[in-house]
Amino acid sequence: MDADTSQASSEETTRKFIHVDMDCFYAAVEMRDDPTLTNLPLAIGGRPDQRGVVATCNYPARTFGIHSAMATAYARRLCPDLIVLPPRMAYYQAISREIRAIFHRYTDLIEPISLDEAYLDVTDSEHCQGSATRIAAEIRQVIFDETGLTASAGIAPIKFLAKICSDENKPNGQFVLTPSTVDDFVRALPLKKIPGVGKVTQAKLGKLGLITCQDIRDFGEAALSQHFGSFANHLFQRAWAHDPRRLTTEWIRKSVSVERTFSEDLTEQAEAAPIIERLTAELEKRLTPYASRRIKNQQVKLKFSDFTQTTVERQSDSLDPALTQTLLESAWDRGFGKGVRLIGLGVHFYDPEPEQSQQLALFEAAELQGAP
Amino acid sequence: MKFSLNRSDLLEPLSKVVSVLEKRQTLPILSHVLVVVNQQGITLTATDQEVELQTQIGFDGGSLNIEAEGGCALPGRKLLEICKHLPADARLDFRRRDKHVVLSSGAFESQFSTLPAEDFPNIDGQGQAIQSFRIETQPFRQMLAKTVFAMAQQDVRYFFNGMLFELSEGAVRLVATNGQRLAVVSRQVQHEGALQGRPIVPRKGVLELVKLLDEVDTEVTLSFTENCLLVEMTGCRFLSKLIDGEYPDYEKAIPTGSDKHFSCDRQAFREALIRTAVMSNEVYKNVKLSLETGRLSLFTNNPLQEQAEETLAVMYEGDDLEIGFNVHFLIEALNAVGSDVVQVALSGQTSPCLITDPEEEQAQFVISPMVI
Repeated sequence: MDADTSQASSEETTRKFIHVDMDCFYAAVEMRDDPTLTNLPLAIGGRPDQRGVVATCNYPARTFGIHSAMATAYARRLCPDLIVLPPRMAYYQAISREIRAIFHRYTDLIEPISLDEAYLDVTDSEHCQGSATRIAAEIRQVIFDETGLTASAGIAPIKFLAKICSDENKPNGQFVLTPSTVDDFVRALPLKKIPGVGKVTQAKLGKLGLITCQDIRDFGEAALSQHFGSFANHLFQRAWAHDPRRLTTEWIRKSVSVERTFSEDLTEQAEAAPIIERLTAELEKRLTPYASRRIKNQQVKLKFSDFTQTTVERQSDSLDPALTQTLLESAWDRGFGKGVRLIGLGVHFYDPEPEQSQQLALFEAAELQGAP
Repeated sequence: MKFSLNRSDLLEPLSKVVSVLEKRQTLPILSHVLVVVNQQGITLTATDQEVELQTQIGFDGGSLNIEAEGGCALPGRKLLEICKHLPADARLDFRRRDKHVVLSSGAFESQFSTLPAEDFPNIDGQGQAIQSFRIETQPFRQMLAKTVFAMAQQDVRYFFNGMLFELSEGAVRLVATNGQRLAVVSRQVQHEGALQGRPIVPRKGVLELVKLLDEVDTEVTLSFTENCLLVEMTGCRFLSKLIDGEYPDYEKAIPTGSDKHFSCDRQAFREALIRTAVMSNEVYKNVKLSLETGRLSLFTNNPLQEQAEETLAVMYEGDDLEIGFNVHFLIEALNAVGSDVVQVALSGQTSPCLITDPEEEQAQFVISPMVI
């Protein structure tokens, strides 16, 4: 190992990534809701007579060779008894949000990949004495307790390895790579497991006799780049277990609020009325860019003359002036006559809907191979 | 070679052939127009080696005067530029001077380099026409307009970069797809002898044909040889090579078992889509359609949390459905349909939709959905 690479690796190996992958998510949800499906081959996807494709299938279906993205009609040929259910995306999204809320109890560094997959960075988490292995086990247990669904997890000091690891003990299992085992694991790692290496690249690598990461290390980056151009660097980096990427987490606003501190404390609730009106207008203005977000609840905060403070909140799907009044009254009562030095108004949002779009094809790849 | 004619008799036939020339050529002669002068008049030919266009200047115009026959290739764009910028009533004299051709008109004189006529790479379209049919220009132009937009551009599945001419007894069907959306239109035609086959005309050939038909208003004859399409019109002759390949079985992509049919005003639907498209995700271009009894809602949003929505009255009775599409695919299909009322057939979130003109069953537009 040259000096550069070893240095980079030791710096990276101090992080702790968990990749959580729900086990055949859509199918698992349907089996949870109808347990009679559990041992029958089941696929979630478009109808065979409408050229649909399989989105997910359960393990009994997989024994027939069925996999996701396969045409439902073809899957039916492999397994005539296959049960095909249409996807209920809104429902899966709701469950995915529940699962994401569980992740948030452990870390805010979450990178969702899809409804059923996410990376967590628990490097700085204090849960379970900072043991990523135990955090992963606990998260999987909590997911099961709260949703009845099983998840698999991969724990590794390097991002791309965490994803590879979550596949190792699937379903309902986890696999840990500690910093000291990374090197041995990566040396033996088949190149096809590296994200970005598809069938074509794999075949091309195979022709050069390159099967594992060790083979790439021996082959050298210069030789590799003659065959793979700029992709060679990516491969070479991964083969040396080098992946400096952190999580891509989008900072998402969870609430919007406005407040005002007064030069002189208010003593009568009636004095608050014009202030509430101004604050409401200001809050409305600040909410305009978030028109697409769903409001979850509304709150009123008061700080009293003795610097104690209280917040009253209630569920609401909009900013409702009548509700503000009610909240203000109950907050005011908590002061037992103390003067009020600050009033704040705010709303909390629901987490935004995860965004993913995928254009479906009209033709099966297999149907397009007729051309020379 | 020595001849003279009025500018007005040369300009149109010349600019037609020059439009076929590629902007950047691999061979010098591909920037040239072949000029052949004989007893029949003048023939101008240009090619990009995929298509070839020949225009004829006869004696009907009354201005052509030939003193010596001959032929050579002249730089096409330069010749056209000069002709364009000579006075409208100019008389042009062409004569050979050694290896050059001299064009003089009044006080103006220019000298062109030439390339030998024998070097001109004519497309070998001399093979026996196996299939031939006649069609009125106006409806043929419409057929092309309804399908041309759906062809792919530079797709690795190269047969998608062209249009299928499906020939059968008494009818021709044009099919274009990029693998995600499909347009099909058919029409009765007149022919002598058998009509059968599935030639694929490349994109460039189709686009050039569309341009040529704009100026012709009677009928055209299309003939297919083993590897070429030949179209003969008054004063010009167009050749296009064919794509050697087997077009996929597009009929399988046309949904037949749809259970949700709605119809609505085409313009209203189209304009609502154009408005909502402004706020769609720049990458995915997705629009969500929510169909329920009597109404269709369109919704778009983007990562900036901008959004647009609109609800239309539609003729529909049945189950609710939410489905996503590339908004531009919908708009382009609605442009092509052309009728006042449009009929849309859907079945599920992952199944393609079929758009038709309720009065004309010959044209069908299929769009594969997006999973949003």
